[in-house]
Amino acid sequence: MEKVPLLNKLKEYRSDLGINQTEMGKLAGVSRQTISLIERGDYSPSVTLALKLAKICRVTVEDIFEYEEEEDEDDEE
Amino acid sequence: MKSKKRASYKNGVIKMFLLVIIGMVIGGVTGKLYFTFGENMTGVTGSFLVVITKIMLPLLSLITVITVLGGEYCYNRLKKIGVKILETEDEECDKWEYEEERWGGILVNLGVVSQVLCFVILSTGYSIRYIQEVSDQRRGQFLVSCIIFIICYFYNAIAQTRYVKLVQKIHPEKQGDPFSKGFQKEFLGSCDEAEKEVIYKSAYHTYVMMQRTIGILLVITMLLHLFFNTGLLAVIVVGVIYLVSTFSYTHSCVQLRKRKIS
Repeated sequence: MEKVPLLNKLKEYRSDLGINQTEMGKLAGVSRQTISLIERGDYSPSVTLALKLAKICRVTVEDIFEYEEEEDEDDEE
Repeated sequence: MKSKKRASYKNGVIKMFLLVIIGMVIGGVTGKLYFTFGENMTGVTGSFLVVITKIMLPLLSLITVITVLGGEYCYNRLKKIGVKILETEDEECDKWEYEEERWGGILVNLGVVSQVLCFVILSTGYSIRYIQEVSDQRRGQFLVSCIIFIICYFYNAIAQTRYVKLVQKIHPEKQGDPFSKGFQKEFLGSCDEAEKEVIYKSAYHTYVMMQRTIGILLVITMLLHLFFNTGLLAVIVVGVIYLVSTFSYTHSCVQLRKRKIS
């Protein structure tokens, strides 16, 4: 899967809740693998899933996910 | 931007030109080979097919035994991996889920390879002319070959069903009865967004691969018909697959776009 410039703190928030990926997946209605992919930054979740995860962690989406602008080489030229 | 576009067109034209040259070279080499070894090649191919027909029964039996042993081995590996998936957590589980995907792929591919081989081998004797011409003993052997072929075919079908059931046991959220008509739809419906992305990417990759393979197969079947008079049927079959895969893809794209505006 291609890398996306979406950093996240999902793992930290999940650890704070004291639950594992399987339990987090069950709460969010997705597989454990999807939680793992998101935590590694290999998958950008949909807005719905991001909101669900934020609700589970009792924080805002921006607290979990951080978008880092990529420097566009064409623009520089 | 314009210079980039121009370079892209230039590259495209160069690639097309190179493909034409490669085609000309392949055509020339094939023609030369045909006129040098043509008759021998026809003879060798004919003799090879006769040998295959003669050993059809032991060959099909061997393939069936390998399929069953290989299938059972893969299934047992998958069962053990399933236990590990259920026992482990987080990062460690990632490793076992990858193993699950890998062994599942091996099991499915083993089944497909064995089915294709069985089809090809059985087809060497699968003609009324062959059945009428050969001795009673050979006819009996052919009948037993057909039974072994059916056993192998059913084993593969059962192996795939067992694999799906095992996946559903490991991942209870996966839905769908493998014996039902709408299994694929139900199974896909029970996958989450990340899993669907993987499936869609793999499906598109398969479509692109199919288009390339069909192009190559069309050239091969046409060349074989040109030199060895293999018949039009092979060309027509590949052509029909080409049409169906392209129509199916474009139809699906249009339908999805239509759903967005309605």
